Amino acid sequence: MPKNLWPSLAKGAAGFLAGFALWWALSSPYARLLASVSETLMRLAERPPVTRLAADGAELVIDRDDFPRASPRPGLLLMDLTANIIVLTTLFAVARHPLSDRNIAGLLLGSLSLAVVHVIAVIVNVQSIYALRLGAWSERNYGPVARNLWGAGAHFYSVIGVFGSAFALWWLFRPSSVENAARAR
Amino acid sequence: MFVAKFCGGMLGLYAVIALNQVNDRVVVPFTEVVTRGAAGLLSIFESGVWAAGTVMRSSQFALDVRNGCNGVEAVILLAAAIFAFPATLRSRLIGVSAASVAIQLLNLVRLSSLFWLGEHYRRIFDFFHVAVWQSLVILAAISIFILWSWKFAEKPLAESR
Repeated sequence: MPKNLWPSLAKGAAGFLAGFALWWALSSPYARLLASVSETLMRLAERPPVTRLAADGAELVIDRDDFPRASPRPGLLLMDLTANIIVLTTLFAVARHPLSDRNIAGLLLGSLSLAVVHVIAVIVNVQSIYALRLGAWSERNYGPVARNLWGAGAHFYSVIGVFGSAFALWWLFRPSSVENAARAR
Repeated sequence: MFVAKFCGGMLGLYAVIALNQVNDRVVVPFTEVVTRGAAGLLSIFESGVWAAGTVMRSSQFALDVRNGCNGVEAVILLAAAIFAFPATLRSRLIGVSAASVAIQLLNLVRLSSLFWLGEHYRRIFDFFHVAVWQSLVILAAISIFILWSWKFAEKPLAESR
């Protein structure tokens, strides 16, 4: 256990601010990227492909070809789903050598993996909106098992998974764990 | 191995709190206690704040404390990490108990300050709610876990993966 925690706290605060600035500044372009990737994946699984996702600032507007024209389109706030990048950058910032090649590589790998988690979270959330929030349309198109499954998935991510995933990815990609794996080999 | 156990622990604990009976009989009453605590804490600094069920109220603002805001999620994350980590049962139980108290105390500060922000600076309330306080509570939970692992299981920390 380190005798002086202040350097770690200072590095953590810097990482928190850096992650926060990144998350805030890139929220709109990142929303467009998430919309594009998630829409492509969802349409691959649909017969016929009907889902259209459009980024509106940091929000995702969900549309389907079979929605009535006059009905309002549901939206999904992406900032709630992606705030875990702040936790990830903070955790990597408290490393003994935060700017070392290994730590930066770990951060990049962790961030890329987190982007995959975000795409999955968007798909699960859109499906939970389809399954639970569109009244009679939801009941017509989703059975009780599917409604529970998508609803629980979205709830799990919003309550625990969002930050649990950031912690798990940090644990996997932090330099000491990479060193330990190399040593074990 | 640690990550697999951690993810399994998170899913298992989530499955427990997601049960309707557990939610209605344990989580909601606990959230009401947390809400009363946060209202009580804020009452030290300003008058006219009270709690009704899971809602904190004043004449200007109301805040409904829901799942995800009652600190239970941070405790679950922490408990999943502590139980996934190689250590004795005694040190795990001490870790989860002490850490849960610390997280809940921090959560009282979080809820009181969010309510105060909602009352006086509504425009930045969402921002602090989503980005700042959520991250800080989770980071506090992770920091407590790391400190616990240094204190009780320094050797396994370096070796676990």
